[in-house]
Amino acid sequence: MTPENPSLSLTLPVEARDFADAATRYCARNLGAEPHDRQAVNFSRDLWRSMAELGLLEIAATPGDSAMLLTCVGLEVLGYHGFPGPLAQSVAVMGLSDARQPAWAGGERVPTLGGDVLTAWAAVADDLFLIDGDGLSQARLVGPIETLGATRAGLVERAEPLAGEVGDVLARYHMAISAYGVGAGRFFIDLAAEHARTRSQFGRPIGEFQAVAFPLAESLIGLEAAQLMTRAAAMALDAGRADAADLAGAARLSSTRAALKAGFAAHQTLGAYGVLDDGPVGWLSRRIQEYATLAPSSRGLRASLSLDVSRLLDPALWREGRQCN
Amino acid sequence: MQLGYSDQERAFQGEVLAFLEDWRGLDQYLHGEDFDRLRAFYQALGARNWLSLGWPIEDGGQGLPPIFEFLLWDEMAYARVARPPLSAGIVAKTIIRFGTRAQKARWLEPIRTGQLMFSLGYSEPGAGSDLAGLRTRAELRDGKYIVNGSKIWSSAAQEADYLWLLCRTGEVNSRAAGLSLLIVDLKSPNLRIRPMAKMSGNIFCEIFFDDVEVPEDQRIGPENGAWKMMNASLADERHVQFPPKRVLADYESVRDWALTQGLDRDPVVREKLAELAVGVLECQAHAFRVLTANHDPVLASVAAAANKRACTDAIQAIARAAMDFGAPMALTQDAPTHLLWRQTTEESLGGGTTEIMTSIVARAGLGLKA
Repeated sequence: MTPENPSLSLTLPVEARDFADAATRYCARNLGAEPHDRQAVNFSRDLWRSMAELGLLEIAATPGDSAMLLTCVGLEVLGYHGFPGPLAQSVAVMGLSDARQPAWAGGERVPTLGGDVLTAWAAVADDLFLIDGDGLSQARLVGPIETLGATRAGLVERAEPLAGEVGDVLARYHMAISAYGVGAGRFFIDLAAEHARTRSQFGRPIGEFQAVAFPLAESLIGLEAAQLMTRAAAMALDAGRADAADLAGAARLSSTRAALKAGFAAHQTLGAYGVLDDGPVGWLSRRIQEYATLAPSSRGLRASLSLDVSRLLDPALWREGRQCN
Repeated sequence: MQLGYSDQERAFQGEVLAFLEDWRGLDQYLHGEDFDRLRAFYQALGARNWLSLGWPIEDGGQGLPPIFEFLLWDEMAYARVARPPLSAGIVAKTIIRFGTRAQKARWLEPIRTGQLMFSLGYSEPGAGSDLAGLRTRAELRDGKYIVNGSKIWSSAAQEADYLWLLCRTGEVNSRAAGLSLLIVDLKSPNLRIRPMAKMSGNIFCEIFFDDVEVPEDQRIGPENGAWKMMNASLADERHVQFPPKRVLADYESVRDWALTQGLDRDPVVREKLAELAVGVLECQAHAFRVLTANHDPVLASVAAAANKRACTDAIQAIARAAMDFGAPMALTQDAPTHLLWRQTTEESLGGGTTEIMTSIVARAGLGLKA
């Protein structure tokens, strides 16, 4: 038997790498290169429009061979830099057939999506959507409310029901929130590892103590898996696989767990500095916790995720064009 | 980015699954007890040239990339048939890299055909994770090494033919620079084996050497040159160290058992099962990273360490969750939860402890010298 070309490859396509580079440059330009610059950046219409010019939302709205994979890597970068705004929510509603889609893609109108009366970014959004047990509906703002994640959230109430399949919207949401979490988690790890390499106590860098290093290493292990699962979910969405929603849901659970672990490890590694209200971690760890808690929530996913998902990444089931289940 | 098998790999997987039909029920993955059938199984693999899939063609192998060995042992793990034999892995691959022509002629063919079983003689009572501190000594006299000392935690040495012995041939304090690898006949005079039962039912052995003679030509590689060879052989085996379908098999056992008991009606159990399922997927993701990181030694070592850590965490979480589901029947001998609880405890020790694996990730992955 003579071997053919290797099959498995985790190398991103050139266009995805290029898009990630463009997103990184965009973040450095518009959010600042240092964490303390970025944490001070709040949501604004101008910022949102500039992000839209990057093309992320338009890509998410345009079915293509790798549209969701590009969206995924773009969101990883934006998550790493803690971009403020309803990114995952917008990527989700881009899956709807709606006349407002061009305005969303261009950043002229801001949509958001929730699963309960309390919805992130509702206070700054133009178009509100709810997904709950009754399906998809439009929603209206009752009033703004301050939340842990400072997401300019709002209390909303159901308005007109909308026709259409909620499964794809939810799958996009899970994939997108997962990608954002993967990026944020990696930011926490990089920040904390840098501190652990340079901060000395007892005559040596604190990263030489296993009690400090191991939680960061464990977080990295979790994030590596979550990143691959999220990208796989994006590819499954691109391919229209029937099991894409399951994989996206599983990826989100993995990403949320890993990103929260990384955030808590960063808080602890940075010591008292890490718990300052204007410190380098809390501004983003609070947002990640909020995304985990808000419906459609991690808890809800654990209650509803298929218990047969565990072969979703089996390469035997990833024949090109083949649908699982 | 490509996550599917090639046609050739898929065809090979089909062959493996067809072959496995005759061996289902061998059940030597979690607890190896039926050594006669295990030998017959390895010989059946040898007859198909499947013990030498990754060996170079000029050494009697198939010259195939690591994914073929992964496919084989991933399916074996899922079927819980058997684990990769030490002989065709670390032993043969070290001989291929560092052995003489005569050593290759002597050892590779019986290993390739599944005739020989090896046990690993690395750990000592005073040297576990810190192998460079080992003390079992081999002195060369008149063309023979005279070995004195003891080894411990050698799996299945009571049934194996040979021991792959790491011993000190340099000065007492030479650490990693004074170690050599010898092949020792386990039936040698003055060699004594004391089996010890593990919680899993498997057997660990302590091995005592009292002037045991080993022919000089059974030293593989240069004297005092073992450390580099061991690192190379570890790298050779990363892709089969912990197959993700072992984790899947454990998960499905516990899930199916829980469903049979009606435990999934409890929302806490239901949520925990979903978490465990996600853990299985994470292990699969880590396996991809191991399989695709071969081009970069640092990435490969981090990926392998992360894989080992994730997989052992996952199987222990699966086994221990079952005990937390609140069904006393989990404790009975007939429940799959019983053996998994006992067996998974040892998996975070063998093949590199959880602490060592995490340290590798911290050092090579994050630049933290922990």
